[in-house]
Amino acid sequence: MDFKLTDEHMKLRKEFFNVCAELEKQKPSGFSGLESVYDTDEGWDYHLHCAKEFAKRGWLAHGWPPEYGGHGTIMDKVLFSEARGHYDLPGVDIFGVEMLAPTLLAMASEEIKKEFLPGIAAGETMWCELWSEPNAGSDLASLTAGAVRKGDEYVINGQKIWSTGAHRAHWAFALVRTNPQAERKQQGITFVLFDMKTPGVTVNPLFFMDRGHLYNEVFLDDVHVPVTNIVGEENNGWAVTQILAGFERSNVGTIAWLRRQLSDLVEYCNETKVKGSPLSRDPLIRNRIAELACSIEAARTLSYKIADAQSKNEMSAFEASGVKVFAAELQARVACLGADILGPYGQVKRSQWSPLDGFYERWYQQFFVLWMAMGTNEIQRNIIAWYGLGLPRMK
Amino acid sequence: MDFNLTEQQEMFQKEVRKFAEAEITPLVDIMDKQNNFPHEIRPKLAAMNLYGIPFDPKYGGAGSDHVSLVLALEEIAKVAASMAIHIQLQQVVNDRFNKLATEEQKMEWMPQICEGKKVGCFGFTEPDTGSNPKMIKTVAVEEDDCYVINGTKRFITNAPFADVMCIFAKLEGDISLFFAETDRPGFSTSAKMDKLGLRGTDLSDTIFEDLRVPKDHLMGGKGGKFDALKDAMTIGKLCLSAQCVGLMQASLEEAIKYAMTRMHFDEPIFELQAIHWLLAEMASRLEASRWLTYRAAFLKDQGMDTIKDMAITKLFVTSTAVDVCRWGMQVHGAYGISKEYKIERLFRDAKMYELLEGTSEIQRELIVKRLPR
Repeated sequence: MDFKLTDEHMKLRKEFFNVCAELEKQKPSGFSGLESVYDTDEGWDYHLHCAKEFAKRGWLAHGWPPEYGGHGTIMDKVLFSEARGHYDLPGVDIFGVEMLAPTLLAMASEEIKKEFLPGIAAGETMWCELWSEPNAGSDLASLTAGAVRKGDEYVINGQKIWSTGAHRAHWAFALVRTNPQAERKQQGITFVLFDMKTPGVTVNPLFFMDRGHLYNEVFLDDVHVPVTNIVGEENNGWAVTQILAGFERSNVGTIAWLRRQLSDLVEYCNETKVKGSPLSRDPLIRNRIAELACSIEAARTLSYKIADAQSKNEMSAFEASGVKVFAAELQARVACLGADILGPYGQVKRSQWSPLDGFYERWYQQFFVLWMAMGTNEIQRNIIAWYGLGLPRMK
Repeated sequence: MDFNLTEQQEMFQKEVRKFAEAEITPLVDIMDKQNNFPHEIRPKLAAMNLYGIPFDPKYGGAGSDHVSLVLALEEIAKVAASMAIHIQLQQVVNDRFNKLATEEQKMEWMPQICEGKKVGCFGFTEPDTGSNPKMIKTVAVEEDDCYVINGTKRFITNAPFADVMCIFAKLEGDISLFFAETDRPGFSTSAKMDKLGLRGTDLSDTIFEDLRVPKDHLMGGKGGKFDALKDAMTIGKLCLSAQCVGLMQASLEEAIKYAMTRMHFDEPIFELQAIHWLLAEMASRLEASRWLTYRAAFLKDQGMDTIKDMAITKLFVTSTAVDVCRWGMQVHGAYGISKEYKIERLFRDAKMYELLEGTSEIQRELIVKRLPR
């Protein structure tokens, strides 16, 4: 057993942190993670700028085969993710780089790979995912948006929902039903790619509870897509979705980001006096911060363990589910601790009155997202129970 | 022991419920989305006697009890907690006049507040002190025929449009209580704060720069008003707890409604055991909170010292409300975080209550100090 990084990894890690530190200095005022990327023009421009900077160093193609411009290993990707998480930097398209590219590498035709991978590696083409529907979320196989083949095109009709960044994305990857008569609902689904400017695509905002615009509902009315724009075989899209389980899911970036938030909170407690004494001397606050620091350290170790297993192709799906649940609940604990420590000031929107740039007023509303996204925590617990512990399936 | 409401209390509860659903429901978006207070509701609230429930009719009150007060606030908060907070402040200011003002001042101010013609606000929190009011920096100095007040108060509900303010200030080194008309020279407010929850109850700083008030605006004589503050906070805690009960009731109802209609694997999620457990937990915590709050109101009506009981009630009920509203969101899944559903507002509103009228940590201190030993 060896918990240390190699010298080469340490050197790389330093490089990632140095570049990210430089990019952090260019952040627009008030920038706050994914919400700023999709909600504001300044945030989106900054996202594209960071993407270009990462792309020119080959960092958007970590772990890809060299013939497609690949660079480095899965562990390099994990270390890069940690640096970005620490500085809360955008620049990596979660849909294009994190999800679609590995899917294409595993399942797409040579033509599709050659057509779409360069744009992702160059940080030029941004993607969105059109999977969930009003009645198909955790039960994704119930999706009903349909594609009818007419000549060398599919004509797609239906509605998608919770489509993060669809109002900014250039292209989409979607799941559509191409055979409604299939015996099982997981059959008859196809994984298609199309330009978001295709006639018939309408994007409407779904405002988040803090009024931010990340999510959308997307209506597809007679959207014509070439039949060559599919990944995997027709009617076999479900198998394509399943390989996503094998991608980088250590959540190391999230954990790094949480460490940074806790560190900022500690600084605030050291600098803020109540009744003439710094908050950091309050036993209740010290206790809660210490508990959280322990949990974050445990999560960090777990996420490295998963990254290591993944880089050796030894990871099981339920291990990633475990760290996902752990990371989501840690986010909630950090949000609640910050809100409690800042008191009423933590509930005031970004203004002259709000400490830490109003972060906790926003974060108290946003921590739920990881709880729900990528399969709710309830679904993850089922996966752990079924696949990890061998417990029977039940309602 | 009798856990039943009186016929009068039940009737009042039903009337307020009907009123809230009909008159306040249409205002929810104005308050939450636009962050504005709809002043047109004030005469209607007054007509329902909601500004002066426990006060003597000769001062414009309804002559009712604190149990009725919590029943009303619960029903109002179930529809719009922001409106309930506005009403609470009117009660708290009236309560100070009722206990500390001269007969003449009571006759002048209380009926106007009860009728909604005047709005009150209440100031003890300051930029450098919240839960420890003994450290307030606002000072009053006696000068000929008046007191001159200087200082700043923070997080003052109703302040941007209030007509009168109760102000805690140090006079000769001890805490005294004054009231001041807000149109006096030297009184100003900051810009309105934009906040997470309870939106639409306008909140701002109030700034006193050589604010001169007549000597008769000193309430209850010089000094010794830390107890008056504790007493005011006791009423405040009762009101907040009642509102949290309303929030929890709304959260449970919304969660059930959603669970009955949301299909998942070809059946409503209401059929899933994981959802059963969440709903059952919400319902049981709600019931415990409700009866703890009613008991605290009952004790208040009996004229008992309720500092410990109010602290216990406030601590339990407000933190439970945060949990119950969060579970309500969890039942909603991804839809819970969108503006399309009411549950996100309930979740945001609930968090505010943990911090008002003394944080949960302060309540714990109050409780421990009063435990038998």
